[in-house]
Amino acid sequence: MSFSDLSFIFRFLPLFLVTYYIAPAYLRRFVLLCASLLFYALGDAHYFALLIFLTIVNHLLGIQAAAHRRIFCALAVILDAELLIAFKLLGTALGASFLPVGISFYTFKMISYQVDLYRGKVSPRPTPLDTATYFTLFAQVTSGPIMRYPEYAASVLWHPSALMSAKDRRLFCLDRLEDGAFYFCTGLAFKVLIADHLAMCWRQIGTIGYAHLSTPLAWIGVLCYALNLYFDFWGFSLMASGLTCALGFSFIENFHHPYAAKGVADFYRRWHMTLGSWFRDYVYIPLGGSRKGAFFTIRNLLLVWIMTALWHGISVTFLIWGMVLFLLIVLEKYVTSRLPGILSSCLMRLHVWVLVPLSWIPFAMNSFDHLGGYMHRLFPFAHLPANVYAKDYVSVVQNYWPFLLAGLVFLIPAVYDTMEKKRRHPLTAIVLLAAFWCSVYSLAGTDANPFMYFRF
Amino acid sequence: MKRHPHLITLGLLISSLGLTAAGAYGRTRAYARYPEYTYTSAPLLTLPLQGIRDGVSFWDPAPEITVVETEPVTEPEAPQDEISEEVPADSSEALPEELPEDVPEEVPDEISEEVTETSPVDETPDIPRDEPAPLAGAPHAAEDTYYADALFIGDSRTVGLSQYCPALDAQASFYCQVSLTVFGALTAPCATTAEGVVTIERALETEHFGKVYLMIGINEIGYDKDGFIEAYAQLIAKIRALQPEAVIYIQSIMHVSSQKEIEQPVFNNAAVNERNEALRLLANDTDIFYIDLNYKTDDANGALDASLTFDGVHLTAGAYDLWYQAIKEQTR
Repeated sequence: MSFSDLSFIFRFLPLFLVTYYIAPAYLRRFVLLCASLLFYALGDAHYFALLIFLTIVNHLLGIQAAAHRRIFCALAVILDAELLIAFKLLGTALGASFLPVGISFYTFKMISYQVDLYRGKVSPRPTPLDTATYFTLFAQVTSGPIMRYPEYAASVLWHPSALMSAKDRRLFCLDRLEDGAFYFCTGLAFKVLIADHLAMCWRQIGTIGYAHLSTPLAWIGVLCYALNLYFDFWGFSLMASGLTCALGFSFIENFHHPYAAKGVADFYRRWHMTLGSWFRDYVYIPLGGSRKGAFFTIRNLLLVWIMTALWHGISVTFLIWGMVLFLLIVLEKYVTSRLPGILSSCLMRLHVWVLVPLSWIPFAMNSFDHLGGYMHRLFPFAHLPANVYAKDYVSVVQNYWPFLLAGLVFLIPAVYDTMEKKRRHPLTAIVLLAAFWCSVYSLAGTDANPFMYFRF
Repeated sequence: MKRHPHLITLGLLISSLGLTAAGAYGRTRAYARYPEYTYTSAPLLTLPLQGIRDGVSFWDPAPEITVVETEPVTEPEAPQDEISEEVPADSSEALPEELPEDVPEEVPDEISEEVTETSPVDETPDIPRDEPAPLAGAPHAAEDTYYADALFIGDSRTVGLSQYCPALDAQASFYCQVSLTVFGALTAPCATTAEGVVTIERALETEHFGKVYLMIGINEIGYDKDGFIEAYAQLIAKIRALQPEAVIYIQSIMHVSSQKEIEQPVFNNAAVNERNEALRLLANDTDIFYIDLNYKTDDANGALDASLTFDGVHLTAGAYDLWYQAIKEQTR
């Protein structure tokens, strides 16, 4: 089950929210845990036991970690990391079905949980119910964001203030629901109306064969894939954060206009922010960060980017992606940023607008041959294969220009920021409801007609 | 602080309940035309959404179930248009019900007889009549202008052939469109003629071809097989009527890759083979021939070779030449 599954939107979610809100405050965590376990079991019953096992083991080891027993904290971290690596390897070797749903995210939650307990950042010590609910939280268990335990524990709805009147509490709940609805609908529209259509465009490009694209289409492909990835993941994150909002948590920002960044390092402070901050807090800073001179800074960055690449998937193309970004960040830190102001600024922007989208190409490729073929078509200096249809981009642009344009418009920070700021305005509500039903209409069409998304 | 109404939440609630109520009301009325719907398959509100897509309102009366009589394909005026209208290509639910259940076994003979009557080979000595050589026969390289009077009709696979087989594109005409199906082939506005872009049917009325190659079938793979073959037979009859001098080549439906079969089982090579066998029977080996292409692009397991495709359905650009070779090898 996914967030864009109509049974989730119109059955699971309303039923859960009604139960959640009518339940007394002290029962809400239990309702949430039951719903989360059901959600995971419906999605990946095969590895349900693994999640339960890791939850129990991490809770037990966490009790010792909270007592500042380093060995138990280390044991838990090693167990979580090893299982993640083992399943990543299995998934790479035997196929994606051997990779438990969400393992990359919930094991990172578990590691941060252990370290935070050990560092004394969690007080009071979590109950088994809290631990289990935090790890399995349905809004985040499949693809993040990677919320930290203190953020989880701060949910106001579970600890209603005695100072609040019943009317204020009701209004507070409605406000959370309204914000949650705004983020969820926006995310759904980004995913279904923009990202899914751009995914079709990218698939059409792949169908031609990467080594046989015309150079204009190869560059359109770069734009298409970059926008597809951004709106797919941003859309998903907005949906997930909308759900956590509706549950009474604070909004968790996972993307903050990355393409408005002033450099690659800044880009990754704005892109998948919860993953970036996780690596910063639990890897980069413990290794010494940038405090021990250039050599150690570069070494630490290298380690972080190797781990980031492998976290996404164990393959040569992911490693190439990670290493390209590592080199760009080092280049920016020690060369580009020291150039005269305007030149430095222009180069850094160029990195974000050209090199970052280009860096997604190795990310998208599952083989070195494909990557090589695509690069030859992007930069057709040395190699000109036969069977290149010079006007192949025409039909792609004709079919997909509205989605490419919509993606580009929403890259402008002011567009989304204005929507978010004016989210209680009636006009925003009308636009968003229209976008929501267009998305559902599109999803319903896909359900009814499996050919819609893949017509030949 | 001013309290704002919770418009999005309210709007979602009211519209969802409204659509669900419409779905429930129309379940036994207008939406009875969606018998495949069950409460477990999707929320009720998907019914009105599907209705909007098909131009059906929840207050419309229940559809009358009508059985379309099997049209004898021998009649030159076989109502292809009616089939196209009654069975829209994008209406998956309508096809199995409305198309005839069975294709008469004598269809190939009837086509043969009809074809013989309307376009006897002897009466058109100026049109070269080629018969496909047995596949086991020696390959015969066709002349560069051999396909100058050829027309290729098909779906996105043929679109790919037109774009990535320059040797063929330089000679032949292509009336093809992404997602073209046998049901809507003639009404597809994808033929470029002196009149501009017109439907295939209109183009066949004004243009003249010596050979017509068909590659249709992968889009219909999830539909009723007999209905598909029946519609295919009628398409051939219509093309025969409009192009009495042309040789018609039914190209086998190309296989999909093994990976594609796993990912989307509806696309399976067993179904493709079954349909190809039925298509083979539509040939009369006089002026309607069946051409097998799969021997050229299959792997050892009889699936589309994974190295020749990205999506498991289409050839990648560099592989279209194999298709051309397969056609050439069976042309003499």
